[in-house]
Amino acid sequence: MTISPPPGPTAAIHLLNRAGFGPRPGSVQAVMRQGIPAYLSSQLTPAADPALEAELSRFTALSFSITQVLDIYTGRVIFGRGMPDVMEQFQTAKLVRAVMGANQLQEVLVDFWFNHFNVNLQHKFVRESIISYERDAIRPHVLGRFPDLLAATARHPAMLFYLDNYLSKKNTMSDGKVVRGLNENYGRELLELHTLGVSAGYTQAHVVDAARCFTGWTIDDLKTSGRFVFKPADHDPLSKSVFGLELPKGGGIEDGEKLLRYLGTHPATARFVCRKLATRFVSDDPPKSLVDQCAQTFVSTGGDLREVTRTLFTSAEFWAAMATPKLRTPIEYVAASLRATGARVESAEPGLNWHFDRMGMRPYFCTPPTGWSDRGRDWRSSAHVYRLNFALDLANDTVRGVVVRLPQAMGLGAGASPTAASVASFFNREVFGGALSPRTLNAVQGVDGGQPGIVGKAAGLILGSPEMQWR
Amino acid sequence: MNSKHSRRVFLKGTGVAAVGIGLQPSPLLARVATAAAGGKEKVLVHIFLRGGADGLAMVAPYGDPLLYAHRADVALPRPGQRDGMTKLDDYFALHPGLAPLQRVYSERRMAVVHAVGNYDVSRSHFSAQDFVELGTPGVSTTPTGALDRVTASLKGESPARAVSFSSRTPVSYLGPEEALVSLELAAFRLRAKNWQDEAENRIKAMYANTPLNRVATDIFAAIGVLRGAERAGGQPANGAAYPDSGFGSSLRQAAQLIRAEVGTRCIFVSGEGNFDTHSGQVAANAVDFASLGSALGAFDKDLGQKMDDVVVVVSTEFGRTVFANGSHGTDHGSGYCALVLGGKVRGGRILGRWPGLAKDQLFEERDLAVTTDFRDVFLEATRHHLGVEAGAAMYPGYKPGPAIRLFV
Repeated sequence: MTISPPPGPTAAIHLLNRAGFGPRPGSVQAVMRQGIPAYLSSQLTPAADPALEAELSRFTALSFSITQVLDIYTGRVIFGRGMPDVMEQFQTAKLVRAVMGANQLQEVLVDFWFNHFNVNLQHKFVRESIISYERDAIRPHVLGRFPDLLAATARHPAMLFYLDNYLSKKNTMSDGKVVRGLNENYGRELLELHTLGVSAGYTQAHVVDAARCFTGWTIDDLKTSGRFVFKPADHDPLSKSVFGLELPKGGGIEDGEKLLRYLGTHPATARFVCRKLATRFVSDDPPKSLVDQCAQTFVSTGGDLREVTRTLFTSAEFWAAMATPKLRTPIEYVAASLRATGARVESAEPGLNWHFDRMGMRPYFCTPPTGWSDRGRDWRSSAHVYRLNFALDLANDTVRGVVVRLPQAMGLGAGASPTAASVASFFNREVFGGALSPRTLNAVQGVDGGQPGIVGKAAGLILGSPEMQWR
Repeated sequence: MNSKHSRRVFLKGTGVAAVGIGLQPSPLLARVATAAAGGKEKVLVHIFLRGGADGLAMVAPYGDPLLYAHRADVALPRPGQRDGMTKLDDYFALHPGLAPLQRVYSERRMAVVHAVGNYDVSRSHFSAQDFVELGTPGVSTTPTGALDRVTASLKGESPARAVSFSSRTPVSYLGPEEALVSLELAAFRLRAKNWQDEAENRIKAMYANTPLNRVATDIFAAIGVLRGAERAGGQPANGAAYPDSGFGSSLRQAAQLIRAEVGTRCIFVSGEGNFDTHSGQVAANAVDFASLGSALGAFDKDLGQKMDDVVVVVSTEFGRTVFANGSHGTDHGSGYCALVLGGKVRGGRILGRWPGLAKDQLFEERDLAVTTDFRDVFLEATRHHLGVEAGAAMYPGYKPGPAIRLFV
């Protein structure tokens, strides 16, 4: 069942907040002009975004192969002197895309699926392969087929390294003793985190057999080329049984491929993945009816994520969720604040990363394979003080690496100075659709002109307001 | 008369006096109250090593030759050998990174409970951590965390009553009791130069009567208390030197809070090291256990006599396989060891029942078998140390196993 969204700015804001990183000045009006259904269609079929591409062209590292990044980090090639570091470019590009990108839905989906198939930038070879991982394994598939996305992550060197599969070999016998070669890490997380979910009912024996399917899936050379390679001699050729899939003995690379295809379209995977999508985009406690609808689309289309995403955002449950906002995660909060102020991100370093660290969520720095929680309430804590501090710093243009020009963003000419009331009414109109509470408006409108000044105070309060914490 | 009783009486009196002069009970009063009770507030510290820390590497049964037969790739040399482990007795030895704890152990302020775990084995990080933190093995839908329930059963109003050194509220504190969550207490203040009070008042006004009001009021209450704690807590004492690491930073701040007597009762430290050692275990452990060991050693030294009021429990979500895997690492297992430190702990002992390493003694022929339910460790700590019958609240419906006798 689908329903039409309600008229007025509220629906546009809901869509911009959930299927994107929040409104920028002007974007609510633009979505209303285009109409909600047309906007959603265009987001589901992203068009070229030349303005973003032009902005990203300064990040030359985004096109690098794993080998090229290895060459730089091993010192074989000197990377443009005076330019931002390769990883700084990569981290900055994520924020530039979030803040400037017209294809907002694509960007939140890249964020979601990267988190689903998390790898951690702090691991040494992940650093060398993470640009390729996001660009080649995640981004092309977020509106494609889930089995393709799963297969692309499974054989990507970043994942092979992060979950240790590159080390996994068949167990052998020597002098009558078992010489262990198997590493269970990827096999377990594949079932638990990437596909079936921990409560699907698989056993420890299934975990071992899943891991055995991927023995010999490795990386040719961690220092030079860093490419996926299958080594038949390390593969365990005996029969395997994983959650209903029986693989006869004698298999090679196809053991892993068959298992990925089996898991990639399994109904338990559909439910697990759809529940996670609904948790991120609709509700901390998504209604079963919504999960079922999405899972049905998933199964009937063989895991077509464009159709699953469409089902999600056109559901009655999605529009009903306007009544129960979700607490923003720190990444969502920072991106939404940058968008609301029309900020320009020069670099993630040093200011944004400093603030992300305090809020406990620096992009690409999630240590465990579980990724970060999609539930807003898990981010509610007294560490909220660091959100307030980010708001105050951003409004005063003291986040290093970010440029904020509020008077320009408000369309004021040179020399014109905003009042507290005009700052409040600007944000209220462009970001909140008039929904700022009288309490917040009163608090903001009362500020005086003492240091750090009217704009910094008023905008700092609005960005730190309770309304800004929700999406 | 126990300290809890005397403190209650004092608080009651303070409340009357405060009303008399037209004041609301404030964090400051809570602090004064605590100090007046003689500073005997008992504190529980839980250091949770996320990732599945290898109990057989932390406290290794080097006296059993099977240790070396099963895990030649990752077992460290016996005590006395080059790069060897640190001897506790003729059978068990500490990881050399934990060597600073040998002194604490021999001075009987640390006990080891071996083969602790969850009988309802889960080898999923996510589930196993939830089961420990929620306190309900096998049930992941429990609405509150075990430490939240303990906190609720402790009297006191300090905004620093429950503290977590982590970047997010840990599941342990899930629930109605607000916890102070920060990795860096010194940075826990509002960056509003020149308009500090105005900003605070306006932010409070915006948040009033919203679902986030509690968060905002707790923040400002905590800022006040922390400012006081920084003054009262001062610098590390007794020449204690904390390592420059996550554990060092968290435990240095924890000790400062405890010394300042600002009403802190429950401290959670999220141990974010690389404990999930599927590969390269020896190198990873060398870094993380050294960080943990030197931080705990400094903490014990820093607090000195005050360790009588403190119990530290170090634990994890599951142990690791007894056998090394093919990657110089170990995979997810079951039993692990818990370290319990404190002035009143029956220290200098390996407690619990050692299950053995022979194949038929292992769980599913791969893991150290669990012989002590993790809940029994925490129950003894809350009952005997915190002095509250928090047990029933902490683990509803749980029937405790055999006594570990962590305390005299």
